[in-house]
Amino acid sequence: MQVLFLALDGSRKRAVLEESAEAVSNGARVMVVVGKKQAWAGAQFAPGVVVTTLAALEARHLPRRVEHAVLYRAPRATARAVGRGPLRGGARRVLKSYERGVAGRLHRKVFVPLHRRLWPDARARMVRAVFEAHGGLDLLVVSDALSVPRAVQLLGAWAGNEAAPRVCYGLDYDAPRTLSSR
Amino acid sequence: MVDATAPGCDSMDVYHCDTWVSRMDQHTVEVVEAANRTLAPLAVRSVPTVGGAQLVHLAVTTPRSQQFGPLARNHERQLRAALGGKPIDAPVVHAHVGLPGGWAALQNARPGARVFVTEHATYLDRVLAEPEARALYDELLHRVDGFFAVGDPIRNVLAAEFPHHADKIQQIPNPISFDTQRAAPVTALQRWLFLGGLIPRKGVAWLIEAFAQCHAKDPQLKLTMVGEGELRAQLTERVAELGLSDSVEFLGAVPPAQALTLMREHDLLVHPSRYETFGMTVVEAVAAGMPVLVTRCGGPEETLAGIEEDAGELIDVEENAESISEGYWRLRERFERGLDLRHAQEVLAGRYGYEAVAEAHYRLWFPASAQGRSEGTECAGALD
Repeated sequence: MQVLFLALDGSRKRAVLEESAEAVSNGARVMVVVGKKQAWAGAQFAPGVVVTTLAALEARHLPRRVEHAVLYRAPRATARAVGRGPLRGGARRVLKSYERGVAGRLHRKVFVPLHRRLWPDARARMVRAVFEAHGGLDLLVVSDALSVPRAVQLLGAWAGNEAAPRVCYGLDYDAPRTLSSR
Repeated sequence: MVDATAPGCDSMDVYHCDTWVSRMDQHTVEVVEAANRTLAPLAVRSVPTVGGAQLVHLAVTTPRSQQFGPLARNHERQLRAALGGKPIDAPVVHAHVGLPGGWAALQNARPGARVFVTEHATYLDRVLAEPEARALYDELLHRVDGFFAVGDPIRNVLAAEFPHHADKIQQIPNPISFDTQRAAPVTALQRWLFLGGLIPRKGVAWLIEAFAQCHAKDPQLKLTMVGEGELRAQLTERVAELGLSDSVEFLGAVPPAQALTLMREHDLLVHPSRYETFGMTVVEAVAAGMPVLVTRCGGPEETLAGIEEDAGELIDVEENAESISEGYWRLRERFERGLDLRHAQEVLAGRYGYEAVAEAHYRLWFPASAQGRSEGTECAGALD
């Protein structure tokens, strides 16, 4: 049993914490996708619950990893190689300035829009890919209002897939049948 | 209510329209609601619930601070979307609270269906203070087949606000289960229990001060605070200041079944609320064999009428801790001579027990078959 909680606006934290803990205690593999991890800084998820963001999942797509390598990893390696001895401080400053002024802008203004235009389903595929090694996603729990449009987008992208997950507004309103059916 | 009434119906569906509040601008509100129209038919399924009924859980996406009138129309629209645009397929629809539930039920009931509403909202004054909500409420009272208040506090407010509907507003109580008894009767009033929101209306700040006063005389006393609310941090801090951290425990919110278990594990329910429309917790406590120390805050003096001395001690709503602590010592003195909780339970079971309340509902829902109830019970829809 693999369960994905979509909790992008964090307005129902207690429900998400309790239900994700319940799912884990029932033996499920559980991932909670949040909007911003900082918003959940004080939240205590049950051991075994994986918490991530959509952006982090999307960044796993190969073109995005290539982009990251070109924009960030290569310049960092270069700065490390060049910035030895007395050049260390200067290299760091240049790298920081480059990442903020060039790489960050290129990422936001060019690569992200281009990536979404070329691979519109990449985000949905990356979300789903997390669960594929263990037989696929079984249940999508939509946990707050701002997650509803994203859930519809994900389900639309997954439509036609042979094993589309079940979807519900809360574990208690689906779990008994889903858990027993697996 | 479902647990009490569903067993007497051939079938019952409960629509739980859960208000999901988020900070959203108008554009986002529309995007989210449109998406929910797509999602609801996929996400909404019925699952078995108490009494053999089927439960349908629907998320009603809602912007923060939405007023009660727009909220009622929001529930109406989103319930309709979840129903696939079709009316509720039931000859009887019974909703809880006028707005938003009653309005959503009324607008989605099938032609010819009989619609009932039970009002027990403690926030009714805020509903009626909004012109649009007040107008909807007026129309609701006009159109429903039956309208019920759970006690005099609610009925009096509505009768004063809508004198032209005063005759239509009847009274029906919340049902309480008297089935499960505690393993052993209470022998000393040492383990206090509070159940409710940690909010100013519940009088919890005075409760902590009163407990401190009583604890100074009897260090064996313990207090369990069950519930969540805006005052939790402040109360926790005050308990620490008073040096009572070992004697006062905050459990947070617990499921209803656990709350009933806690009642059977404590000696005294202390309920210092400033206002209650019914005071269900108080009746549940007596049902669990627990004496109560409760304020005359609207509902409780009505629910405990005639058995006040048997069930515990009623105290006036006062803005001080002494009224609670003095009430406790009076009750403790009387307790040693013996209360008559069994008599209190018998009286309350006759008023609020499942059987009594269920029969009251059946007489309303199925008047033609009230004698034998052999027909017309095939489908009752409830909206919670």
